[in-house]
Amino acid sequence: MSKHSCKKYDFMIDDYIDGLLSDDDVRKLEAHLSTCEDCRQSLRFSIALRNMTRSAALEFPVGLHERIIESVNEDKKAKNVGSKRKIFRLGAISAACMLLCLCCTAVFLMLPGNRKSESKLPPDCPMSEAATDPSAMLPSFNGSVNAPEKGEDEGYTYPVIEEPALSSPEYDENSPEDAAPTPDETCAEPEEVAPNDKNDYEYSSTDAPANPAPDVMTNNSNISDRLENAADAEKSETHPVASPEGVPSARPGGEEITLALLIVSGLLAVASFIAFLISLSSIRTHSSNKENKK
Amino acid sequence: MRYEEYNLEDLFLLAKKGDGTAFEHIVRQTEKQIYNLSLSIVKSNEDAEDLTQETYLRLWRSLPDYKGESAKSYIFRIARNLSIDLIRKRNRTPGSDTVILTADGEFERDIVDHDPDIRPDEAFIRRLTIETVRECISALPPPMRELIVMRDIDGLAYHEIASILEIPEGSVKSRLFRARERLRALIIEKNIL
Repeated sequence: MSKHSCKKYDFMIDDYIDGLLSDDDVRKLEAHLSTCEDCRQSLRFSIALRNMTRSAALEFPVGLHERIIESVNEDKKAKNVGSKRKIFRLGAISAACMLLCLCCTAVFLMLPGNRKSESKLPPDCPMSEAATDPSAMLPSFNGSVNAPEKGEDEGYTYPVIEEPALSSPEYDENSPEDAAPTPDETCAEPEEVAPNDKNDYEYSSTDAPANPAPDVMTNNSNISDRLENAADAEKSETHPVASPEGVPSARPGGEEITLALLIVSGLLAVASFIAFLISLSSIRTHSSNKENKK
Repeated sequence: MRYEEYNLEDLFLLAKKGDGTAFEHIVRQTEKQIYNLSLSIVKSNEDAEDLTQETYLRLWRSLPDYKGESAKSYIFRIARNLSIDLIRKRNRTPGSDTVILTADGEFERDIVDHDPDIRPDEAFIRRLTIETVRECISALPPPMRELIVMRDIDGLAYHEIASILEIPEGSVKSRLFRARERLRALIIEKNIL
């Protein structure tokens, strides 16, 4: 048999020894082996070498098994300690975030713009509406102006102007919807202006001849100005400035920062608390599994 | 069910859940093979012991990542990688003829086949001793030594070796054939000389 053809069968010998040849290849090899002494010798050598190789493994070192188990157990302990530290850290972070959240809430509530206001007027009082809209306080003047009467002083006497009847329902016969509030509504009346008292006029005797007759509309505008001022004074104490529609109210920058901090710290507190609970439950599950196995 | 009745993959899954006894059984079933493989690569008893210990530590830590693949391949891959890393760190060149694998996985050096005319006879076979075989295995280049140990000493299947070395099964067979030819040549040279 030529060496070239035997080389082909050399490759099959190892698989033949391992039992990995197909039935067809086994038949071919065995047919060749029956005619080739060299290949049979080669097969015997391969079998001997394989057996010796398997026996050539060195003895497993004494004590190595115990050392392996011990090192793994030490690693387990270190991991448990690490887990407990992790839980403690998570708990501390959670508590710190909650504290920050509470502080931000307190600061936010203490800021001037956020304090609850106490209105001086009862809520059902129309005047409380009028506080934001001074023009609502202005009665529509439908009163009459009496013709000047002859007073004590000779010459010009000041006309008596009837005080607008704010409380009289009969006052506004032309436009009932503009009627001033009635006494039954138990409202504190705004500061009264008594235009019929001539001493209220700033009158200089030296200017007497030149004194013009007081203008009724001017008087009324004075009244309305005073009412407006009174309303503004009250409003500044109790109500924020009513801003026109569409214009956002100006807030101090501190509130926005505090609100943002509040939201962030709240979210962090929730997240860290959830992580803390998950870690705690996983440690407890692991411990209970260990106890069950024991 | 007793732990002895579980296969290696099931033991891995139990150990993954934290079962310490299952892990002990894994160690018991594979420690000798892991030691042989480590020794075949680093050629030092002390290093092989340290590597075996490190292999099981690494296995314990990486069990959460185990997804049910071949357990033997999983642990052998860890052992092999650790052994190769150690050699690289210590700049060892095992044996005088370091064989470097090319990109396609073939050996760079040509394997010197034994003279095909010299066939071992019965007397030759009788003279063979285990010590001779050990010496000759030790003299093999590391990749060949690794294959002989995994297949002929540790008894790993071709597909397991292929998975560990990350090469096709056909390549495992052809490389193993060349490794055995080389071992045979060394033994014949030793015995003749």
